[in-house]
Amino acid sequence: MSGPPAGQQERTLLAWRRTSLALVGTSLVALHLALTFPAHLQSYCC
Amino acid sequence: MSSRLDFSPSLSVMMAPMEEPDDAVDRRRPRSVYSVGNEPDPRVSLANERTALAWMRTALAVVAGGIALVLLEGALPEWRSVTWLPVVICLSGAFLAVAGIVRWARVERAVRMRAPLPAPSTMLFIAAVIVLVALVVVVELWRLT
Repeated sequence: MSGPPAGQQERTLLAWRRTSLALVGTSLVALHLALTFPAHLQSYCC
Repeated sequence: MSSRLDFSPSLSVMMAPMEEPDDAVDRRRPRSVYSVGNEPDPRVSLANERTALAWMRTALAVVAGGIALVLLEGALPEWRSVTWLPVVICLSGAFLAVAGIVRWARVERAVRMRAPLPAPSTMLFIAAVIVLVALVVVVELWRLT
C-alpha cells in the first residue's frame, strides 16, 4: 500500500470497473448458454 | 479528485465521514463493522475494498468456469458422466462471493480495532476445489481417450 489516497481511489475505481466487466461477461456467457442449450439445461432440474 | 470519481457510491461513502464534524451521525452499514474502533487510514480501507473486489472477480471466474463446463457438456454429449461438477463449481463460486464479503468485514473490523488480521483460511477451500476439478477433468479425459 503506497501513494496518496486519491491514487488509491483511482485504483479502487478501476477494480470496480474490472469487477463490473467480469459480471457483465459472466452474465452474457450464462445467457448464451441458456439460449444455446435450453434442453440441456433442463436436464439439470428435471 | 476528478469528477468521474463522484459516480462511485462506495468511495464517496468511505470518504464522507472525514469531511464531517466529529459529532455527525455515522450511517454507514454494516453497523457491526463501522460501530467499533477508530477510523483507519483511508488507504487501508480502500486496499481492503480492492481485495474484496478481487474475491468477487475470483467468484465470477469460478461461476464462469462452471458455465463453460455446461457448454462443453452441451457440445460434447460424451462428456456426460460428470454432470454434478458444474453444479459444484457454481456453488463454490457463490460461496466465494459470500466469503469475500465476510472477509472484508472481518479485516475492516480488525483494522479499526488495531487487531491482528484474520488468516485467509478460505484459500484452503479454493485450493481444494481447484484440485477436485483438475482431478475430475483429468480422469474424465483419460476415460474418453
